[in-house]
Amino acid sequence: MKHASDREGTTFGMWLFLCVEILFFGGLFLLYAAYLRRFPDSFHVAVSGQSIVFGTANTVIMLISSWAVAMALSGVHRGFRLQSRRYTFLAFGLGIIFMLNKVLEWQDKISSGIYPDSSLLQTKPDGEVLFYGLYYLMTGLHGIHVIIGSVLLLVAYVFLRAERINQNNYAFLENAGLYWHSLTLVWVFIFPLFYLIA
Amino acid sequence: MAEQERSLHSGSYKTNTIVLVALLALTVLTVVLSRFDFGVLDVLITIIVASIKSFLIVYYFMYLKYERTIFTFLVLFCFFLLSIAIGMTFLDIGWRY
Repeated sequence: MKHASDREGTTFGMWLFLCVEILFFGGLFLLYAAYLRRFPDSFHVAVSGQSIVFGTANTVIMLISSWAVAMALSGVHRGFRLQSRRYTFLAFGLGIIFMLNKVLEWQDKISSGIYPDSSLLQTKPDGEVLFYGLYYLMTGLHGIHVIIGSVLLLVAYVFLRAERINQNNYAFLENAGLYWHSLTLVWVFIFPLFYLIA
Repeated sequence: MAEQERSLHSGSYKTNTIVLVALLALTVLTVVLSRFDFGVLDVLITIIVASIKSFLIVYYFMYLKYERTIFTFLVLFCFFLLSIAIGMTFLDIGWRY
């Protein structure tokens, strides 16, 4: 009974933290929505210049990594330690691939002269400047969160190997997983707003 | 299987995989729909599909399905706060511009 109440306490605490994270990103989405309403044509032009390939690839990577985390926890709950370790490592690896993809995408943008305060961007209308400002801010903040999440997943993998995470003690993996899923949740909205609405 | 999922606070391998397939299918749907011009409905359709995806993630991958009701209230309260912020802002900019 004691174990059950402890689990609920840590999970509830994690959810409270995630609510703050959702409100944090929610504020940025609100800013996006307000500027989209103010500069619909410029946003339309800016989104048309975005790479759907990069965006879609990263969406698929985030979704599969979330699935891997869910599988890892299902495995731990059912006593499948080896499978759980493999799924956790897969999720960590996909987090790294996500970031590499993001670096390539940013590199592509920067080499085309599209970055905050660039001479090319300064010649463009206000709406496009705001769009790319929000694009770098939101994908950048999301990227920082992904790096933190990847580190947490790597730590979870090490703990699983050392059997510090097991069928009776899995709060770390559960909370790292919740954190990771919240990043997928944010990306599910970033993807259409910055890559598809054109 | 459902009873075991509830007692373990996580979905089975099968449930997780079905949810992943649904999420990938919805991603394909979003990309395909974005190729068509629905005018002002573009944003609305995109947000609806993204909301369905986020529901699947929260309900199945974040185990809300297997948690006590208080967790659902916490999440709903969070989105309620966000909706106030969004509603108030759009009431403002709706009149201003």
